[in-house]
Amino acid sequence: MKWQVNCAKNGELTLELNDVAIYSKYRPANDANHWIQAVVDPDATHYVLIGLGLGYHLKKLLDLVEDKPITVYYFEEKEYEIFQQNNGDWWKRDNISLALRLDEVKIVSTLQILVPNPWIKAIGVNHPLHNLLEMIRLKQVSYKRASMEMLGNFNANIELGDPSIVKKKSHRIACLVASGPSLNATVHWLKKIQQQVDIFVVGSALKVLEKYNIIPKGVVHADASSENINQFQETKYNGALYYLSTANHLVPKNHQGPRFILMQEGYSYSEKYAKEKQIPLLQTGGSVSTVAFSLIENLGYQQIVLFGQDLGFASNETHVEHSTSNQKAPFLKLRKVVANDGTEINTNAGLLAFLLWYDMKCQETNMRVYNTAAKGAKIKNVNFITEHQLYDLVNLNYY
Amino acid sequence: MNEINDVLEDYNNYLECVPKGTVQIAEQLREDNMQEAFSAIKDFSEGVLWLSQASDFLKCNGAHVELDILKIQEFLVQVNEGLEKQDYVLVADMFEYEIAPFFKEVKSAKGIHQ
Repeated sequence: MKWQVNCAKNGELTLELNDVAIYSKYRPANDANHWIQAVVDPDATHYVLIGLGLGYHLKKLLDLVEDKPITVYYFEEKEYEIFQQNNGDWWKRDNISLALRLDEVKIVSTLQILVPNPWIKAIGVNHPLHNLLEMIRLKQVSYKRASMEMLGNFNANIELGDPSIVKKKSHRIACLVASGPSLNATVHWLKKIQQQVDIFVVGSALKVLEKYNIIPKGVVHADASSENINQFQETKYNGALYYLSTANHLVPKNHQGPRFILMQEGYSYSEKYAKEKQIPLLQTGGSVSTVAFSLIENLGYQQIVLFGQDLGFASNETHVEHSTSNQKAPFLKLRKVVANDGTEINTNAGLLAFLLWYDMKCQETNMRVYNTAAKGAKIKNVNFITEHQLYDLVNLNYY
Repeated sequence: MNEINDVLEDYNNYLECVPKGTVQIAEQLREDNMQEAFSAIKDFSEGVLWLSQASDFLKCNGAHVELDILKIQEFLVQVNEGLEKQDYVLVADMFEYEIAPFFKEVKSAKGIHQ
């Protein structure tokens, strides 16, 4: 990695990594302070700060949290040398540890991981930690954006008094229908097997199934904002609705059919509620389709087939036609990933974070997972399945 | 004449708002509010394009306008380069410490009758 220490306009030192600025070239310490102040959670009991650099973030964090333990991750020895050369002894305290590895950090729910965005951009997409750090940051940003709405929804949803799910075993095949572009082709397959499988669909693809007269067993709703409630308006669907405790409350409130509330891991209110009521906790993964995956797993299915779960796009369409989420892929940095058919497809940071979740999840799940998206991103431990293989699988299972 | 006066008024009002807006862009970038920042940068690009067209129009109609269009284009190129390599610290610096002070110095346009 290429490290470059420069003098900023105000006389302080500033730093570039791989030609990307880590701090401002005008007022580096001030800007680092500003960021730490904006993001630090005073209720956390332990902090992990990514990036040591010139120590500006660490110094401010120390001011704010005093004696609480802080672990600072640095990327390589050179970075540590730069830090040492430009700092005295102020950081040599019992509560501060500097680390080149993060394996020994104990993950607890009161731990806050602080990831300044410039580090992610500077280490570049090929760095082994890049995708993980980006996933953490995206989740934090989306949580920050939605936290007030989430709490309001949680309180309103709890008031409905709906039951949650019960873990059991099912021998039927579950089909998870998301709204990636491949669903354009594979929705016809679903039509043929709909009587023999249990179909769970995410809100954005509900109207696509309606268009083909496919009736799902359940629809999954996870979005806290009111932006996507149109997914559930003007539909004839009155089957089961599975909704996350923090999902927009208007959807369950207006739903004409059975409702099941889902409690998620990592959200203190739902964790507490689930413990009191002895309800299973779901890993959310950050998107409605990852919630649906966890739901299906918790409902006890042994086999799952993914439809429209592309996690990328071969053309510039991000979703299937008629999906309420379809948009042109924005002109942001696109990444290449390998598709199920061996070709390369585009993806973006958000979808890549979900791919990483699936990679981890599909290696630990007991379910057999199949993916129908030929032009979808290849998920570890997941088999690509063609149309005829799907019919064989379904027939073998059904009879 | 009314049209010229309307454009002149809009031009001066817009010019007055630019420094505050550019500092807000820098703050959004530094606080990781990327969606808001990108949307504001798009608005800024469209806004300065309009300023440049309004400046030409006013000059053609005899108004006194001080706006260094070449300098603005230079800023936009640098902002684009920063966005291209996702160097958002650089882009935030540009908006707060280069673009905002530049627009603060630009004097209001004056019509021929003023």
